[in-house]
Amino acid sequence: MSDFSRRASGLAKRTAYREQSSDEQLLALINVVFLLLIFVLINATFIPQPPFAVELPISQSADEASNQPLTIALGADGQLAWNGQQISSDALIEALRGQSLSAEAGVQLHAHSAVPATTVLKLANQIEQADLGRIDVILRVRQ
Amino acid sequence: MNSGLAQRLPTRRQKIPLTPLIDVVFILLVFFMLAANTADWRVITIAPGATSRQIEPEPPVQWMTWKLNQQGLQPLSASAQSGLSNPVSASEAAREYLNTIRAQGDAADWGFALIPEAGVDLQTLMDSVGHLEQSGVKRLRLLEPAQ
Repeated sequence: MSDFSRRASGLAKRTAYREQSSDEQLLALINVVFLLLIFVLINATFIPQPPFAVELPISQSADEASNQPLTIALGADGQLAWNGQQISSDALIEALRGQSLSAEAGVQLHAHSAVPATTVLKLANQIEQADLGRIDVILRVRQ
Repeated sequence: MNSGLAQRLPTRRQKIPLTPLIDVVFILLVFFMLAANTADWRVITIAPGATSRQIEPEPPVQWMTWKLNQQGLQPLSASAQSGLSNPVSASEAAREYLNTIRAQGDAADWGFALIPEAGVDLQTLMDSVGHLEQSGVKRLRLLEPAQ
């Protein structure tokens, strides 16, 4: 073997080793990023944002909220939103009726802390009269 | 020695480019982290029938009715025998209620009705409900003020 070809094969070996080692490092990085992605996907809840601001009331150590499919937002001025769209209360009840809820399903209510309590009770009464199950008022933990 | 194995293995494996893959995964990660909500939410459940004046639970329940305003809770019904004239906190109201039902006999026949006045916001109502539930008030009803 000539001196040149010996050098060339040595260089090729070193390059192959370097490529393999950088790929292995990248694989470890991808593993970690996939794990992060799965963690975020499992932990997170995704709800459509209403077209108005909702500042949830602060909780005095209530029960932890579970994920529910039906979420209503109630703004400080009494405006309602469902699926990210503003909606009137009559249309909301009709829309909820169309969802064929089971008795234990319930509705999650994201209401602004400054909304009058009577507005919430009126809405709760309407939901109740439409036989739509229980209402879960969502609160946030004091930071 | 291992030349048989070496012959069976493909001499050159097709390489999958990893950089575009990790680019996409990073973009997905950033998207989900921005779109996701990881807030620690709590819940207060309004049970079916709890806001209706028409539906009466079984067995017939005697309601101790309180009104809620910014100052606190004040008894409304005649069954509140305390003669409390000033508004009290939710915890004191719960103590009063529990003492009364203990004195009256069977606790299963009693319920606590709360009527928030106009001008009371949801935060005040939820604070009171949270305190009442913590103090051991079991059957709680939330009613709109009478028209």
